[in-house]
Amino acid sequence: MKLDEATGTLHLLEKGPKSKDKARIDVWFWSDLTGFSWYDNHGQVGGQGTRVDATTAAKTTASAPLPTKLPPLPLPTGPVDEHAYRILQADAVSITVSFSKTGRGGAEHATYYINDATVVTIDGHPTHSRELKGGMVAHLAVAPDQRTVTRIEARDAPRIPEKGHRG
Amino acid sequence: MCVARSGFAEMPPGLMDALTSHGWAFPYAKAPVLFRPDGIMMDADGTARFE
Repeated sequence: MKLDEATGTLHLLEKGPKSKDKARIDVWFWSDLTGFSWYDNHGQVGGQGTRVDATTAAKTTASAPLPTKLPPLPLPTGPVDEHAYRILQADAVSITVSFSKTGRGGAEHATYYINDATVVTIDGHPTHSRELKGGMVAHLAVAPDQRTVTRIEARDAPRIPEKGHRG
Repeated sequence: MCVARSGFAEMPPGLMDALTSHGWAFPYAKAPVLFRPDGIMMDADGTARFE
């Protein structure tokens, strides 16, 4: 296994099967270290794992909730155009949104994890997070770990005519 | 264990200790699985399942 120290992502490669059949799994641990989200890049499935405390006698220094640098995302409550956030980037396992109204705010953005339990819709139609595109606006609901989104309700950004455009 | 660096989120404090000090459960191996400091993940039967 290979741990990306900067992101906390653990890369697992299955032992045994031929190279083309090996499961290649990325694991992201929750900030409270009680579980993790995983994604199999080979089988293209994901899910969540849990910590099993009773099985080991060793103590950990991480049993208490620990802070994370990802800021909590205020849950939207109003019409989509007033409280939606602009998507900067999205893929099968993560989404980055801007908190600024222009979508260009340097530090005013955050990245959240997506897993197979995340419900994704575009214009009300269920879809996959891979269909999300930068520039869309979306409502997000965030899990208690403040790192994983449970629901993404996206729609295309409103079209704004260019300056000087006529017609 | 190999360590790489890139830019995304941040590793939760205490992750390394928690990784090697607890058992974990997920669908690919019989729980509890153990992440060993040498980079091998063992299942409940003591079989190395991931590296």
